[in-house]
Amino acid sequence: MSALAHPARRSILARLSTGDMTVAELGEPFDMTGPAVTKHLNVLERAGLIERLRDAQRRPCRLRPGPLKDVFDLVQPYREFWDESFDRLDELLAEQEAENDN
Amino acid sequence: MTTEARSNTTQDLHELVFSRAFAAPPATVFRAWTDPDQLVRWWGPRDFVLTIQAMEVKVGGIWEYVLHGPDGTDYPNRAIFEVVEPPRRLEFFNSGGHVSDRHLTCRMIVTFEDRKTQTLVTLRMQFETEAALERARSRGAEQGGRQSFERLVEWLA
Repeated sequence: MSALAHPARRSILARLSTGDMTVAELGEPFDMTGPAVTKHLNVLERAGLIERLRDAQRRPCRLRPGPLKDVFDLVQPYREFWDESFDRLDELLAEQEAENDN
Repeated sequence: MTTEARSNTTQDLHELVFSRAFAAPPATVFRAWTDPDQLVRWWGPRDFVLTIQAMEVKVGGIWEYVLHGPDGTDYPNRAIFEVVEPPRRLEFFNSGGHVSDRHLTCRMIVTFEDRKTQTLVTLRMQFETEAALERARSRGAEQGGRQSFERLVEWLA
C-alpha cells in the first residue's frame, strides 16, 4: 500500500471516489503539471487501485473496486458494529478486572 | 485486539460470525452481556447511544432497546431470549433495525468459551434466508458504509 503513501495520491483517490475524472480535472486543485499528475496515476495504476478507460479523447481515470473494496471490507458494517462495541466491552472488562484485583 | 469476522452461507444456514477474545473470565463477560447497566456502556457502533426499556434475562424474557444513531435516527429492537445458560451461552431472537424494514431481524447466538486467562466470545447472527442476510448486509452497508466512507475520506485526506 505504499501507493497510498503520497498525500497527492490519497487525494486523487478520494476525488475519484466521487466519479471518473480526466488527468486535467485531477490536476486542477493541485497546481500540478500534467506529467506530475500522470506520474502519480501511473503509481496508482500499477498498484491496481485505478484504471484508465480507453475512451480515446479523454482517457478518464476510474477507481478499481477490487483492492479498495478490501479496504472497505475491513471497515464493513457489522464488523464495524461489533468491533467498536467489543472495543468498549474490552475497556469495561479491563476496568472490572482492575477493581477485582484491588 | 481485533474481531474475527466471517460469513457462512449454505442452503440452510445464512450467518455472519464475529469472534474476539477478552481478558476476563466467562462469568464476568457473560454479566457484561446481560446486565443493562453494563450493556449501555458498550453495545453499538461508535457514537451510537443505547437505551434499554426492558430486559428480562430468562428463557422467554423480553429485551427492548433502542439504538440512537449520531444522525438522530432511532433503531428500535425487541428481542426474546431463547437460551440463557450462564456463563456459557446466550441466544435471542432479535427483531429490529430501522422501523421501515426491520433489517436486523435474526437469531443471535453468543458463546463464551473459557480459554484459561481469556474468554473467547463468538457471536453468530443467523438470518432466516439468504435474502434477509443480504438485506441486512446492504442496509448495514448503507449506514455503516456512510460512516466508513467518511472515515476513508478522513484517512485519505
